[in-house]
Amino acid sequence: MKDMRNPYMPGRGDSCGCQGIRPEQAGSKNPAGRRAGENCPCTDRMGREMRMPNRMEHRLPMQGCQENMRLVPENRMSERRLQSVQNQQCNKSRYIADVYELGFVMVETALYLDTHPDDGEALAFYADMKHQYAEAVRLYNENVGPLSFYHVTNENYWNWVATPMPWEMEG
Amino acid sequence: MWNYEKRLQFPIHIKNPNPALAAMIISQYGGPDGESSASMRYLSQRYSMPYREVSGLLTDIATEELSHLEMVSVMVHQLTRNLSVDQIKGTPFEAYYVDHTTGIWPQAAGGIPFNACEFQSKGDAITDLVEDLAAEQKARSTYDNLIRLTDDADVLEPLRFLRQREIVHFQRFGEALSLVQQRLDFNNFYAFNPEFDKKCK
Repeated sequence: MKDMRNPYMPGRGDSCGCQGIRPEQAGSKNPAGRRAGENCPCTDRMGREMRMPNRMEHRLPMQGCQENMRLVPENRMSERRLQSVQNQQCNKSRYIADVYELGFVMVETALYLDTHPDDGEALAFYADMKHQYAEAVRLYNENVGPLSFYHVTNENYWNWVATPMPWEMEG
Repeated sequence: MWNYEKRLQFPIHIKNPNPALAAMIISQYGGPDGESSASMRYLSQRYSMPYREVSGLLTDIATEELSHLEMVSVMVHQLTRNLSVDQIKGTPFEAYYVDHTTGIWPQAAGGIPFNACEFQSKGDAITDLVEDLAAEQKARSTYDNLIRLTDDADVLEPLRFLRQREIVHFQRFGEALSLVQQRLDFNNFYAFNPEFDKKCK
């Protein structure tokens, strides 16, 4: 978790407060993080504001974790086991990141739809994201821990109070 | 009703404690333009709104503000971890520490406790939405001020995220205001208060 960088690209509306922040700009005193005159990436080529949240823009890069891990083609059991554990850790980070990213896209889309309830494109986007979000939540609940107390699955112990609280750093 | 999702809206992992900075950031928890104020404002205003798009929007933004007040509290908590008394003495955090140790309590950076005088729920659709537009800009300005106070990337990332959210909310409230005005008499939208003067509708 601590290796996550902020790629949360912006926003809509202008003076959108779009940060267009790249990691090397972190620490810049200018809240907008851009030099004067630099184009706000919220607007597309034709200068229209981007209205829809774009999933790929919000992807949190998982550092130290390859996206496409393959099994080591060795016959030694210990190496396979190590690779399997590493896969699990890598997958766990990915499940966490997916819930954060897709959850954010859901919130953003819901707010947009509140004031544009008949926007067909947005409705189709929402329907698509809903499935991906539900899948991400399922994988998180199964592999990381319960996200809500409606979906606690451990039958021997009330896991809800066993997993770390979101503000803890020791975990 | 509300459910709790056991995660933050945006990850926060602040490695370096900084009680002086915590004493400033706490303003976005319990201050006049902070997330508690925003959430209570929108939750209070939504009941009398005459249009479901607007009461829906107020509910959803208020819920997101609850997740933001959680984030600000987490930032203050992480900035005040493992402190020795010497790290507290002589900093702006000292007075807060006397009353709260390193517990979290909603107050402004200047010390004023969170209170309902910091927001209004006027029961008039246009008035309330204009109040909400102003609230989002006040919050954005406060985040601007906080961002200027630090160079710590771990702190800047969540602050910038929160600042960006304020601007998006401002956009949404603008759309809601426009929607309300279009449903009233476009030439005279002050003719009556749609939340109260039912006979005039």
